[in-house]
Amino acid sequence: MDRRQFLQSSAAAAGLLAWGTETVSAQQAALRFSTPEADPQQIKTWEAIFADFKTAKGIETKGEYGLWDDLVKKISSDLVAGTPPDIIAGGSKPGFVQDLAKRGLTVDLRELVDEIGRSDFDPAALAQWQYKGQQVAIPYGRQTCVLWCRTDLFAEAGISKLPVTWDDYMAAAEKLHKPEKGIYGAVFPAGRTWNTHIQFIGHMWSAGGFFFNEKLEVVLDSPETVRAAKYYTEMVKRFSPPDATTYGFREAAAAYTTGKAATTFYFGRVLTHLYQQNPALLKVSETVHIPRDKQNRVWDGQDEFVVMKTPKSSRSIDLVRFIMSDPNQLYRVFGPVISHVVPTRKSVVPKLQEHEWVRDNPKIVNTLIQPHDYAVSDVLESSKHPFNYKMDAMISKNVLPDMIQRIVVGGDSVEKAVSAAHKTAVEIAKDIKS
Amino acid sequence: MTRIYDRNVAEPAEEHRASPRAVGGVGPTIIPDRWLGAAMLAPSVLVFLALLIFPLGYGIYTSFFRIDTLDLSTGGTFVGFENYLWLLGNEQFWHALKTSTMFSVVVVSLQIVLGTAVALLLNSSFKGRTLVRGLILFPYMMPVVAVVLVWLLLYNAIFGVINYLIFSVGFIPRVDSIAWLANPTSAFIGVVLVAVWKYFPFVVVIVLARLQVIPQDLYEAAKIDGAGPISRFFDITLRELRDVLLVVALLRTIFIFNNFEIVYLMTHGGPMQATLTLPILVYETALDGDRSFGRGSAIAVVMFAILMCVMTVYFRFLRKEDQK
Repeated sequence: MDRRQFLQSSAAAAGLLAWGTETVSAQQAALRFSTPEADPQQIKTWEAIFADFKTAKGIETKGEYGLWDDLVKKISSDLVAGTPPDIIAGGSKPGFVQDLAKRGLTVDLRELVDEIGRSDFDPAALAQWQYKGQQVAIPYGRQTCVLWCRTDLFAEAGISKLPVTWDDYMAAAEKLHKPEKGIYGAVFPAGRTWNTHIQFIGHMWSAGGFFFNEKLEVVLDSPETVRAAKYYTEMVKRFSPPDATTYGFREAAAAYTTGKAATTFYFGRVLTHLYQQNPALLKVSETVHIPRDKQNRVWDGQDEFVVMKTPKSSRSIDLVRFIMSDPNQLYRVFGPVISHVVPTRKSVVPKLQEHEWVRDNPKIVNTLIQPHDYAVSDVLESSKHPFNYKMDAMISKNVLPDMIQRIVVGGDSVEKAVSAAHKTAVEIAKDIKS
Repeated sequence: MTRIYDRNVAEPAEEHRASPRAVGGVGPTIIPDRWLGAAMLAPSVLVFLALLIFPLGYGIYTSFFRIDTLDLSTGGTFVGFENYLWLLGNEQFWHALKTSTMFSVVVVSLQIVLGTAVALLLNSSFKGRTLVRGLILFPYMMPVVAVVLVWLLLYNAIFGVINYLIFSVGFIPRVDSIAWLANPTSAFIGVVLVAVWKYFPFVVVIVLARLQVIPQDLYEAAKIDGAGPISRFFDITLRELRDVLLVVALLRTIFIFNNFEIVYLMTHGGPMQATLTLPILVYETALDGDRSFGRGSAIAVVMFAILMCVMTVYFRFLRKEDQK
């Protein structure tokens, strides 16, 4: 063999080796599991499930834990880099997942749903994650936002009934608000965050307003939105902590668990935080549905598994099957944040109700666990609306939080701020193609 | 076996030279100068092209397309200068440009003033100087996320140490009287202070290194000529530091103008977009919502052009100084 032949053979062998190594490493590499459900206890549970999965199937899984506000941006940048995660868990972004499915980036999970037992799932939850007949994600839990109330402070203020309507709530907040004693009557988040969007849009729906009409045209500039914005911003300015204009999820929960707020909007996660950080408040806490204007409406969030199309898809499905098939296994996912994520599988609900936190705190968990019919999704503002592929952009561009901040921080009139938000939304929507 | 050509080594005798065309044969081969030079430069050039030129070129290229970030692999629609025209008419872009410029100017100026002052202090003799020199690097070494979390706690209106201290000395009537990050002006100042605190040690290190090599003879001669401390500072120290400070100013400007994490983690660009800088706008435009990668690229290209202008001014200034 002369030198030329030697070099040619070596190059060919190196190429084959590199190709082979890449293929083998792609198949053998750990599954990447991306989730914002990342309280310390939740991370421990995910890691324990991954360890069990490795024992059972010999497949390693690596958790990637992020923030709710940044999940879409993180997944998008992963996709740009050509390194998407294998599984996304709990993103609560149906619009984004549909965008992924549209491009063939997700695996159709219909067969897995049938295998687990379609009839065991809440059909409405499954429907939210369907796209052109495909099941683009499996919802494993739903989250309900409620009003957390300190009953001791209500009693101290002479309020006998927890609020049901906006008027009740404003009157109660006025009596509860004692900043000189370090107690705030309410926590209306007004930061440039997703939580502000979620809370305000719920109020807008309650007042009878919509972001989009049934033709998916922006209709933000309505008397209902103005009414909701007036109420919301008044509650921010008069009864919320002075830095509420920086608040997202974490701060809204912390204001309550630290005993600084008499009420706050939040999901069930606060129960875990109270057990961990301030158990004394458990006995003096209750939850009620978020006070309503014309009707009960609340933003609906769901936690779901999305399996991305990667060389490891079949093993990703194995992991989802491993978690979802056995109700005991699935129940572990809910364990660290009891009543925060409520199972969408009927067979798992009884197990949840056996948990001692649920048994010991009926006045807290009932509102969170019991089914209700007024949850509204961003992407389906009413039963007459088509799937809204434009809403994700409105959320990420902070249209509603910016509107709230213009009123609270900038001192704009409500009408002017609503009109400006409407204009911005129209501009954004113009560029979005279906 | 290939022999590397060396000009300093005497040429072998004619009879010992192998034919340059003896490829595949046995014996030494002489590589012509131009090929040897190119071969030795090739790895650096390749790395330079791969890590710098390609991303830059790709960024400029995509700024002429309407393209969803999720469709990067399949390509988008060529729209010419449409993304740039969109920028010109976009209020948020102009606002972010103004904020970024103000943020950079204020942060870099304060970093240089504070860094130089601390470096002068550390250049003098005092007990425990070595320890202080080590400690001063602490903010620079801390991870940004940890720094931001600490400062968010300090700034917290209800639990924050800063409010507590001000309240305890009676400057505010209630501990929650100042919501540092909830007001556009104080939020901007708050973020500026964190950026200055985090990165001023960089200035200290560079300036201190330069201070240590300023010949002491200059100071002694000035003293003999009757120059006071202020005169010595301006006429010797500052004059000697000038080149270093210019380099530091340039490097810090590039870094701060592109800084994303401190501002985003602290305020997400709020309140009222008071801290919305261009890097945050790129992030929001390209990676979220409608995921307009082309528009995001166009903003990034404008940022690059601005920094190129700053660099050009800097180098022209340096050239003029050299000519003097």
